[in-house]
Amino acid sequence: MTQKNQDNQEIRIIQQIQESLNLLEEKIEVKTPDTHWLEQWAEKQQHIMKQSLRNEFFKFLLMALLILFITLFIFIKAPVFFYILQTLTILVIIFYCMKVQQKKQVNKR
Amino acid sequence: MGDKEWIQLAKKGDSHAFAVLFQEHYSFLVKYLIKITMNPDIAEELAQETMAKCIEKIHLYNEKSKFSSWLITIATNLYIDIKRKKKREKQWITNEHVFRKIKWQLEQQNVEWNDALTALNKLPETVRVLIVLKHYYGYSYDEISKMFHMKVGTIKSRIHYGLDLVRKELEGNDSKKPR
Repeated sequence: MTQKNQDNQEIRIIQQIQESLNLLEEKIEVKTPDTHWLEQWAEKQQHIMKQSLRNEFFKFLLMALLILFITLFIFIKAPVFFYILQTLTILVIIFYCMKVQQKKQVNKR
Repeated sequence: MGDKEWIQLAKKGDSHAFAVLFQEHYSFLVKYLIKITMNPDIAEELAQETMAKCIEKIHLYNEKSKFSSWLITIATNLYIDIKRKKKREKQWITNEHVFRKIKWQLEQQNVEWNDALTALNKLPETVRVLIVLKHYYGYSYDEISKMFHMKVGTIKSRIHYGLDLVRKELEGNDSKKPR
Protein backbone atom coordinates (compact mmCIF):
# COMPACT_ATOMS: atom_id res chain seq x y z
CA MET A 1 0.00 0.00 0.00
CA THR A 2 1.39 3.42 -0.92
CA GLN A 3 1.79 6.21 1.59
CA LYS A 4 -0.96 8.23 -0.11
CA ASN A 5 -3.41 5.33 0.09
CA GLN A 6 -2.58 4.84 3.76
CA ASP A 7 -3.14 8.53 4.48
CA ASN A 8 -6.47 8.51 2.65
CA GLN A 9 -7.58 5.46 4.57
CA GLU A 10 -6.62 7.08 7.87
CA ILE A 11 -8.57 10.22 6.97
CA ARG A 12 -11.62 8.09 6.11
CA ILE A 13 -11.43 6.28 9.45
CA ILE A 14 -11.07 9.56 11.36
CA GLN A 15 -14.15 10.89 9.55
CA GLN A 16 -16.12 7.76 10.45
CA ILE A 17 -15.08 8.11 14.11
CA GLN A 18 -16.02 11.81 14.13
CA GLU A 19 -19.44 11.11 12.61
CA SER A 20 -20.12 8.35 15.14
CA LEU A 21 -19.10 10.51 18.08
CA ASN A 22 -21.25 13.35 16.71
CA LEU A 23 -24.22 10.99 16.99
CA LEU A 24 -23.50 10.52 20.69
CA GLU A 25 -23.03 14.27 21.14
CA GLU A 26 -26.32 15.12 19.50
CA LYS A 27 -28.58 12.26 20.48
CA ILE A 28 -27.74 11.49 24.09
CA GLU A 29 -29.52 13.90 26.40
CA VAL A 30 -27.77 15.20 29.49
CA LYS A 31 -29.79 16.89 32.20
CA THR A 32 -27.78 19.55 34.02
CA PRO A 33 -28.69 19.96 37.70
CA ASP A 34 -29.86 23.45 38.72
CA THR A 35 -27.56 25.95 40.42
CA HIS A 36 -29.24 25.63 43.81
CA TRP A 37 -28.74 21.85 43.93
CA LEU A 38 -25.14 22.20 42.75
CA GLU A 39 -24.46 24.84 45.38
CA GLN A 40 -25.77 22.60 48.16
CA TRP A 41 -23.79 19.68 46.76
CA ALA A 42 -20.59 21.78 46.63
CA GLU A 43 -21.13 22.88 50.25
CA LYS A 44 -21.58 19.24 51.32
CA GLN A 45 -18.40 18.23 49.49
CA GLN A 46 -16.47 21.07 51.12
CA HIS A 47 -17.76 19.95 54.52
CA ILE A 48 -16.73 16.31 53.88
CA MET A 49 -13.32 17.51 52.72
CA LYS A 50 -12.78 19.66 55.81
CA GLN A 51 -13.85 16.80 58.07
CA SER A 52 -11.45 14.35 56.43
CA LEU A 53 -8.65 16.93 56.65
CA ARG A 54 -9.39 17.35 60.37
CA ASN A 55 -9.31 13.58 60.87
CA GLU A 56 -6.02 13.31 59.02
CA PHE A 57 -4.55 16.11 61.13
CA PHE A 58 -5.76 14.47 64.35
CA LYS A 59 -4.17 11.14 63.34
CA PHE A 60 -0.93 12.90 62.43
CA LEU A 61 -0.86 14.74 65.75
CA LEU A 62 -1.49 11.55 67.65
CA MET A 63 1.32 9.72 65.87
CA ALA A 64 3.69 12.64 66.45
CA LEU A 65 2.85 12.67 70.18
CA LEU A 66 3.30 8.92 70.40
CA ILE A 67 6.72 9.09 68.79
CA LEU A 68 7.69 12.01 71.03
CA PHE A 69 6.62 10.18 74.19
CA ILE A 70 8.41 6.98 73.21
CA THR A 71 11.58 8.92 72.39
CA LEU A 72 11.44 10.85 75.65
CA PHE A 73 10.74 7.67 77.58
CA ILE A 74 13.73 5.94 76.01
CA PHE A 75 16.16 8.84 76.45
CA ILE A 76 15.12 10.29 79.80
CA LYS A 77 13.81 7.04 81.25
CA ALA A 78 11.28 9.02 83.25
CA PRO A 79 8.40 6.76 84.27
CA VAL A 80 5.97 9.69 84.18
CA PHE A 81 6.06 9.59 80.36
CA PHE A 82 5.19 5.93 80.43
CA TYR A 83 2.14 6.63 82.63
CA ILE A 84 1.01 9.51 80.41
CA LEU A 85 1.40 7.31 77.35
CA GLN A 86 -0.65 4.53 78.92
CA THR A 87 -3.44 6.90 79.96
CA LEU A 88 -3.49 8.50 76.52
CA THR A 89 -3.66 5.10 74.80
CA ILE A 90 -6.62 4.04 76.94
CA LEU A 91 -8.39 7.34 76.28
CA VAL A 92 -7.84 7.05 72.52
CA ILE A 93 -9.16 3.46 72.50
CA ILE A 94 -12.28 4.53 74.45
CA PHE A 95 -12.81 7.51 72.13
CA TYR A 96 -12.38 5.32 69.04
CA CYS A 97 -14.81 2.67 70.33
CA MET A 98 -17.40 5.32 71.14
CA LYS A 99 -17.11 6.79 67.63
CA VAL A 100 -17.47 3.35 65.98
CA GLN A 101 -20.51 2.59 68.16
CA GLN A 102 -22.04 5.95 67.27
CA LYS A 103 -21.56 5.27 63.55
CA LYS A 104 -23.14 1.82 63.89
CA GLN A 105 -26.20 3.33 65.57
CA VAL A 106 -26.59 5.97 62.88
CA ASN A 107 -26.34 3.30 60.16
CA LYS A 108 -28.97 1.15 61.94
CA ARG A 109 -31.41 4.10 61.99
CA MET B 1 -18.83 37.52 35.17
CA GLY B 2 -16.52 35.21 33.24
CA ASP B 3 -14.93 31.88 34.13
CA LYS B 4 -11.83 33.60 35.50
CA GLU B 5 -13.73 35.60 38.12
CA TRP B 6 -15.76 32.56 39.20
CA ILE B 7 -12.56 30.53 39.48
CA GLN B 8 -11.02 33.19 41.73
CA LEU B 9 -14.09 33.06 43.97
CA ALA B 10 -14.10 29.24 43.93
CA LYS B 11 -10.47 29.28 45.05
CA LYS B 12 -11.62 31.27 48.08
CA GLY B 13 -14.14 28.49 48.86
CA ASP B 14 -17.31 30.14 47.49
CA SER B 15 -19.79 27.31 46.89
CA HIS B 16 -21.97 29.46 44.61
CA ALA B 17 -18.97 30.01 42.33
CA PHE B 18 -18.44 26.25 42.16
CA ALA B 19 -22.12 25.76 41.34
CA VAL B 20 -21.96 28.27 38.49
CA LEU B 21 -18.78 26.71 37.07
CA PHE B 22 -20.18 23.19 37.29
CA GLN B 23 -23.48 24.15 35.71
CA GLU B 24 -21.68 25.73 32.81
CA HIS B 25 -19.41 22.74 32.17
CA TYR B 26 -21.56 19.81 33.35
CA SER B 27 -23.05 18.90 29.98
CA PHE B 28 -19.67 19.16 28.21
CA LEU B 29 -18.04 16.99 30.87
CA VAL B 30 -20.72 14.28 30.86
CA LYS B 31 -20.79 14.14 27.06
CA TYR B 32 -17.01 13.77 26.96
CA LEU B 33 -17.23 10.98 29.53
CA ILE B 34 -19.99 9.25 27.56
CA LYS B 35 -17.70 9.23 24.54
CA ILE B 36 -14.87 7.56 26.40
CA THR B 37 -16.91 5.22 28.63
CA MET B 38 -19.85 4.52 26.26
CA ASN B 39 -22.03 4.35 29.35
CA PRO B 40 -24.23 7.27 30.47
CA ASP B 41 -24.51 5.98 34.07
CA ILE B 42 -20.76 5.60 34.56
CA ALA B 43 -20.29 8.98 32.82
CA GLU B 44 -22.57 10.75 35.32
CA GLU B 45 -20.95 8.99 38.26
CA LEU B 46 -17.51 9.99 37.03
CA ALA B 47 -18.67 13.55 36.42
CA GLN B 48 -19.67 13.82 40.08
CA GLU B 49 -16.34 12.39 41.20
CA THR B 50 -14.57 14.82 38.88
CA MET B 51 -16.42 17.76 40.41
CA ALA B 52 -15.60 16.57 43.92
CA LYS B 53 -11.94 16.30 42.95
CA CYS B 54 -12.15 19.77 41.40
CA ILE B 55 -13.34 21.24 44.74
CA GLU B 56 -10.45 19.50 46.48
CA LYS B 57 -7.77 20.54 43.98
CA ILE B 58 -8.96 23.95 42.76
CA HIS B 59 -6.00 25.65 44.45
CA LEU B 60 -3.70 23.66 42.13
CA TYR B 61 -5.39 24.93 38.94
CA ASN B 62 -2.92 27.36 37.39
CA GLU B 63 -5.35 28.83 34.81
CA LYS B 64 -2.89 28.31 31.96
CA SER B 65 -5.25 25.89 30.23
CA LYS B 66 -9.01 26.23 29.83
CA PHE B 67 -11.12 25.20 32.82
CA SER B 68 -12.87 22.61 30.64
CA SER B 69 -9.50 21.09 29.67
CA TRP B 70 -8.56 20.86 33.34
CA LEU B 71 -11.82 19.07 34.08
CA ILE B 72 -11.17 16.67 31.18
CA THR B 73 -7.70 15.90 32.58
CA ILE B 74 -9.13 15.10 36.03
CA ALA B 75 -11.98 13.04 34.57
CA THR B 76 -9.67 11.02 32.32
CA ASN B 77 -7.22 10.25 35.10
CA LEU B 78 -10.10 9.19 37.36
CA TYR B 79 -11.52 6.95 34.63
CA ILE B 80 -8.18 5.26 33.94
CA ASP B 81 -7.55 4.77 37.68
CA ILE B 82 -10.99 3.23 38.23
CA LYS B 83 -10.57 0.96 35.20
CA ARG B 84 -7.24 -0.28 36.57
CA LYS B 85 -8.70 -0.93 40.02
CA LYS B 86 -11.75 -2.71 38.61
CA LYS B 87 -9.54 -4.87 36.41
CA ARG B 88 -7.57 -5.84 39.50
CA GLU B 89 -10.79 -6.70 41.31
CA LYS B 90 -12.03 -8.52 38.19
CA GLN B 91 -15.43 -6.93 38.53
CA TRP B 92 -15.52 -4.89 35.36
CA ILE B 93 -18.74 -5.39 33.47
CA THR B 94 -18.53 -6.79 29.97
CA ASN B 95 -18.50 -4.57 26.90
CA GLU B 96 -21.88 -5.90 25.80
CA HIS B 97 -23.45 -4.87 29.09
CA VAL B 98 -21.84 -1.43 28.88
CA PHE B 99 -23.23 -0.92 25.39
CA ARG B 100 -26.80 -1.98 26.15
CA LYS B 101 -28.08 1.26 27.66
CA ILE B 102 -26.49 3.65 25.19
CA LYS B 103 -27.62 1.48 22.26
CA TRP B 104 -31.14 1.53 23.63
CA GLN B 105 -31.07 5.31 24.03
CA LEU B 106 -29.94 5.76 20.44
CA GLU B 107 -32.42 3.26 19.05
CA GLN B 108 -35.26 5.12 20.78
CA GLN B 109 -34.40 8.06 18.54
CA ASN B 110 -34.22 5.86 15.44
CA VAL B 111 -30.45 6.14 15.30
CA GLU B 112 -28.57 3.00 14.43
CA TRP B 113 -25.57 1.91 16.44
CA ASN B 114 -22.57 1.74 14.14
CA ASP B 115 -19.43 -0.36 13.79
CA ALA B 116 -17.09 2.60 14.33
CA LEU B 117 -18.43 3.04 17.88
CA THR B 118 -18.01 -0.68 18.57
CA ALA B 119 -14.47 -0.56 17.20
CA LEU B 120 -13.70 2.53 19.27
CA ASN B 121 -14.92 0.87 22.44
CA LYS B 122 -12.75 -2.19 21.83
CA LEU B 123 -9.62 -0.03 22.04
CA PRO B 124 -7.65 0.15 25.29
CA GLU B 125 -8.94 3.15 27.25
CA THR B 126 -5.58 4.94 27.17
CA VAL B 127 -5.68 4.85 23.37
CA ARG B 128 -9.39 5.69 22.99
CA VAL B 129 -9.06 8.79 25.16
CA LEU B 130 -6.22 10.11 22.99
CA ILE B 131 -8.13 9.54 19.74
CA VAL B 132 -11.24 11.29 21.09
CA LEU B 133 -9.22 14.27 22.33
CA LYS B 134 -7.16 14.63 19.18
CA HIS B 135 -9.65 13.83 16.44
CA TYR B 136 -12.95 14.86 18.00
CA TYR B 137 -12.16 17.75 20.35
CA GLY B 138 -9.26 18.98 18.21
CA TYR B 139 -6.60 19.20 20.94
CA SER B 140 -3.06 19.45 19.59
CA TYR B 141 -0.39 16.87 20.42
CA ASP B 142 1.35 19.47 22.59
CA GLU B 143 -1.80 20.21 24.57
CA ILE B 144 -2.48 16.50 25.18
CA SER B 145 1.15 16.04 26.14
CA LYS B 146 0.84 18.79 28.79
CA MET B 147 -2.48 17.43 30.05
CA PHE B 148 -1.24 13.92 30.74
CA HIS B 149 2.52 14.46 31.07
CA MET B 150 3.23 12.19 28.12
CA LYS B 151 5.76 12.49 25.33
CA VAL B 152 4.41 13.74 21.99
CA GLY B 153 6.00 10.72 20.26
CA THR B 154 4.16 8.30 22.56
CA ILE B 155 0.84 10.04 21.91
CA LYS B 156 1.39 9.96 18.14
CA SER B 157 2.28 6.29 18.11
CA ARG B 158 -0.68 5.35 20.35
CA ILE B 159 -3.11 7.25 18.14
CA HIS B 160 -1.65 5.66 15.02
CA TYR B 161 -1.88 2.22 16.63
CA GLY B 162 -5.49 2.92 17.68
CA LEU B 163 -6.56 4.05 14.24
CA ASP B 164 -4.95 0.94 12.78
CA LEU B 165 -6.94 -1.26 15.17
CA VAL B 166 -10.17 0.56 14.27
CA ARG B 167 -9.41 0.07 10.57
CA LYS B 168 -8.82 -3.65 11.05
CA GLU B 169 -12.01 -4.00 13.09
CA LEU B 170 -14.05 -2.16 10.44
CA GLU B 171 -12.53 -4.23 7.63
CA GLY B 172 -13.32 -7.39 9.58
CA ASN B 173 -16.93 -6.29 9.98
CA ASP B 174 -17.20 -5.44 6.26
CA SER B 175 -15.97 -8.88 5.24
CA LYS B 176 -18.48 -10.54 7.61
CA LYS B 177 -21.46 -8.66 6.17
CA PRO B 178 -23.48 -10.68 3.58
CA ARG B 179 -23.14 -9.38 0.02
